[in-house]
Amino acid sequence: MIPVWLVSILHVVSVASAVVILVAMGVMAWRGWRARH
Amino acid sequence: MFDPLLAELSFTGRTWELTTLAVYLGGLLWIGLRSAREIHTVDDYTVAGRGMPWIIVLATTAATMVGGGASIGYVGKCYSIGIAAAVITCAWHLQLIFTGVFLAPRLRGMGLVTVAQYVDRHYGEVARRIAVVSGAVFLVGALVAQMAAIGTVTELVLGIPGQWAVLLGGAVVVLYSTVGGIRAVVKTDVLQFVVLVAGIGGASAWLLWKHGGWSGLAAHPEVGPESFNLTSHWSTTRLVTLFGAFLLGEMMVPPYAVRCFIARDESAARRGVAGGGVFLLLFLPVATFTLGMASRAEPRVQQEVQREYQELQASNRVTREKQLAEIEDPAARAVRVAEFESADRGQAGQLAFPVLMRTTFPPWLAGVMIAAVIAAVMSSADSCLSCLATSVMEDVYRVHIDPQADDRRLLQVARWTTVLAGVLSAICALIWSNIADILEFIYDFWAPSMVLPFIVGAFCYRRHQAKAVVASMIAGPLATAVWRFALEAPLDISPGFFGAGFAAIVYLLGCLFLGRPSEPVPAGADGSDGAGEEQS
Repeated sequence: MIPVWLVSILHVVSVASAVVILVAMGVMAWRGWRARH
Repeated sequence: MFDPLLAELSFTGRTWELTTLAVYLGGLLWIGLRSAREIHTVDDYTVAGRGMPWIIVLATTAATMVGGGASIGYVGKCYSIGIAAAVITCAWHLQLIFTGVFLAPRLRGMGLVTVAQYVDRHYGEVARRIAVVSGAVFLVGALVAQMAAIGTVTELVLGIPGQWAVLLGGAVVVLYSTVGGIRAVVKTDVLQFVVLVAGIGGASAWLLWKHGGWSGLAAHPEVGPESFNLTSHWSTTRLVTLFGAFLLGEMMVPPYAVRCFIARDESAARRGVAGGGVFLLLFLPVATFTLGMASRAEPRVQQEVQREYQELQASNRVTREKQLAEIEDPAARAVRVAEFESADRGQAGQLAFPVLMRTTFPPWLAGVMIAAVIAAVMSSADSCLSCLATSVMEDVYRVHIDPQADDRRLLQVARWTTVLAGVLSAICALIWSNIADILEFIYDFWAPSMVLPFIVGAFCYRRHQAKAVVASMIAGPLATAVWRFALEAPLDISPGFFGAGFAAIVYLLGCLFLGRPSEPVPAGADGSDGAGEEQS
């Protein structure tokens, strides 16, 4: 049995990792665009 | 055929969903066609000029990993059996981390284009031919399964007839893959990755907030504590062998190997592929479990899934009664009945995700979520198509037909292969639409033939062991076939897992009895994983 509190923490990590990766991709895309223009 | 569809267009929600999908498909085509301007050489077409930074490698690896099965399929599985389904998917992501850390830098450093070339350098021509056949079987099977998934998912989610969805979605994938090669595939993968992560991540966060966090969702009467049981109704043997089969089944399959080849350098290959595994391990299992449990807490989803389950049982009744009548042993019959029920529940559970999206979100957002699901399927299909074209061009045409062919000729071969493979796979997908069976078959046969050569090549390569490795590449798939078809996979051990184990035993025996012993070659001594030094 996996405790609910552990799943709760893992879900926070899951959403945070999604936000971090999307922000990182946005920043890199912005830098790439700036470098080209 | 489209009358019911057109009649429903008067509903605002339906119009939103179709408009979102049309915009999304248009965006993919635009990106793919623009990529054609960057294709000047065969290297541009097959390995994107080997210039991709790590974050792009990460995005394209993750988008390829998450197909229809890992998204819509495993939300349905979590809905049906709980957290155990999410736990076994961790094996896929751990496999990516292993590949990224230990194999990706070596593969990138060797300057390869196909998986068969790696096998050729280490174990010779016979092994190369086995690798070409194994790769072709895997890619053709995966391509047909993903084409079929485009039809199934679109029909399931949007109600568009599956055949038309296969033709339309397949045409978009084939068009941008043909024109833009791996460059188009990578760029569209990045868009698909963003849509997928934003869609699934946003949906899981929103639904959890709506239900008052995990404490609120876990307290829901339809969720219950048994959903958090690590093994669910599976035996421990079943769980362990399934985990093992998932771990080995996709290891170093051509679509992941290409992600190593396209990286800017060894570091980008390691960070991109391993980073994709780490990200998916943190992100996907919990997100799919959350969506599965939120589906249980929605009465409308329960009703729709139950209705689908009853329809499936009704439609399969006659065929199954005939099959059951042929089984004399009551215990065996009861087992088969339980298998039928489990299969129907699993198939009906696939409705959970799309129905959840419709019941929870405003139409425009549901449209984005639905595009995310279709993105997951298309990003896997385009990778298989691109790898198949590369393999035919590099491993067959350049080796056996015209070794002196120039770039223009090779590009023609790759493009025509892409078109033909796309069209034929779409036709096959219209005939064989059982995605799970096709995928299970190809995963069962990939690991027993191809995983061991990579692991031996990376960690303990010795030239005199080449015969032992070739013997294992032949014996592994044969053992899988016997275990699967003749013995019908007894003891709850999956055929792929058994075949991989048998291949390892044959390899160890081969090391004892075949060839002469010699000192190990230091891996990476010549930048080619030790293989080049021994061959020179």
